[in-house]
Amino acid sequence: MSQNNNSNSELKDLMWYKKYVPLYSIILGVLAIVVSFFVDLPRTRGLYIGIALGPIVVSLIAYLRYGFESSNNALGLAKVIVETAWMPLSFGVGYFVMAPSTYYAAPGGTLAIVLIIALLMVILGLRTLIALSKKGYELTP
Amino acid sequence: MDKENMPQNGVQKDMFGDFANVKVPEDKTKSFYGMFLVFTGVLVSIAVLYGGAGLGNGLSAKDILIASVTGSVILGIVGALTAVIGANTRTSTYLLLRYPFGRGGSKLAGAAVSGIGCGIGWFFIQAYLFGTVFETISMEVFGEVYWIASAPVAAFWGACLMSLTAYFGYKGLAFLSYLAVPLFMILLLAGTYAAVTEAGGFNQAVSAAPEASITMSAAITSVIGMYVAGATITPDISRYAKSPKAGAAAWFLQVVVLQPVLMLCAGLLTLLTPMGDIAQAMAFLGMGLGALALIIFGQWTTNDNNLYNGSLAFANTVRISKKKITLIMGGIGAVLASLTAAGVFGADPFMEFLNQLGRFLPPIAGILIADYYIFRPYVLGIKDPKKRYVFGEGTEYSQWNWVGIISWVAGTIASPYLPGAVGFNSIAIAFVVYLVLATLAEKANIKYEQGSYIETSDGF
Repeated sequence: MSQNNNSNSELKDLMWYKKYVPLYSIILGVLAIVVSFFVDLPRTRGLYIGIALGPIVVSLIAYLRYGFESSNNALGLAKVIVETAWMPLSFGVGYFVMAPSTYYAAPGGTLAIVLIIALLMVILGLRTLIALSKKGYELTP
Repeated sequence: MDKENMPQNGVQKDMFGDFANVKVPEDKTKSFYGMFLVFTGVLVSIAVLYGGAGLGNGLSAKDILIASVTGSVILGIVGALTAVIGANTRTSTYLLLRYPFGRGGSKLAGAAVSGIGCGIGWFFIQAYLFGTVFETISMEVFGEVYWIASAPVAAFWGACLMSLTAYFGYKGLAFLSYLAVPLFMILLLAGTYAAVTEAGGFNQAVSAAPEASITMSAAITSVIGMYVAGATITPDISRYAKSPKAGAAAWFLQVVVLQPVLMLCAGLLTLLTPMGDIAQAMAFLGMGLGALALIIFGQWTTNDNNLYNGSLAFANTVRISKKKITLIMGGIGAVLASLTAAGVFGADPFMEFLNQLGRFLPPIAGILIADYYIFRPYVLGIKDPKKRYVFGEGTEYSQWNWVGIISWVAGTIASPYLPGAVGFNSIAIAFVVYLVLATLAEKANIKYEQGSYIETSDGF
């Protein structure tokens, strides 16, 4: 972790991630849920919704956790952001592994949209983790 | 020692890497969540790939739950007690053994049981199993086996992957667990849902009866036996805990809450499909890619821990950096796994040897618990938990603590002759024998420690 962790510039750097990582996770999760309603098979709909709920719930918890962190504690803030960013990454990979399976198969167009959403989740998670790593924050807090 | 690595302000420099032979510094400690994920990473493979699937072959859903909860509570208590010791001292299991076993005893016990047993033996066996299962599932998924998926090749690259995260120590294990554990949960829940639905719903699943049957006591014994080694060496992970409470809670929750759920899911998958293990069951249900991911991540998060524990043990035994030890053991494991998968030699004799060697591990927990929680505070009068085991340059240890060695051997040898779970018996016997012998020797002024060893500046 960076030494001078309470500086204003560090906090300013983190603000974008604080605001947008949970927000984008929720948006992508909600999009996946919307797509699930275009699927006829109940089990496939269940899978899409089940996976989408992971990043949504963790992001909502992140907003709660922000309230507990001191407003000038960059380390604490970075920890919440990092732990939140891992979820869209992991759950996005989950879509890639499970959505194309025979059992949870969906029509080609729907599957493609879900996989694009999954890709965006993975990119969101990866981009955040790489950026925070470059700033010197611990990725496994 | 160069200037950079000289001890500063009373804090020892980490010459071996990953704080193998020194205390984990305060600013390097990890959160409860991170620790929970690392512990869970080990659990997923043991509970799901082996344990739960085995129970599903012989018990109904209700009995799987009863057996796994009972066994898990016992494991939870034992592991939480050892986790607190690790978190209080911030050192690995093998450093802790320097007190109840002596310096020589800690080298012997650590290297034999954890170094050779986990770091080389189980590491290569699990990599070999990974290779063979990967080949089988690849055949089912793709209809043919590409060279990269053939058992000898898969065992080799699998062992290399597992070595990679172990090479980076705790950080590597945690990195993988943050990614893999949530993913693993998705795979397992999606697979279980499919199995339950195909069987006709939850009520049908609950009433399903296995073709064979195993007794409840055998099932509980099996649950304890599967993970008792993990409960013994929790300090290897909990040394990174922010507080003793965080380390103990992370262990306890993942075993007591998560293990029964994972075992039930895995048990249902094998109970409700005609397949003997869950990877095959998932492939049978049309989730081939999921089955492959399950094997890769399940084995990876578990087997990198084997190597991690083994290299920690060897770092206490030989003066070589932990990273070099990991590379050497990982390389040996990769070659042995590949050769075994190629049929050059069979795995059974090795597994038999490792099972026998593995019996020496659980008594260590009994001895540590007796020494740390009872003997030191109530017989030696060291009430402060942080001062019961002290480490650092100039600390003097005995070379051999014969009470510890005798209790260790007694726990190992006598445990099969008592009814119940052998693993738990060995902990209980070692606990009682250590406490009785150490207290008697102390009160009667009998010298039970022999030789002397002074810790060097690098913690060796």
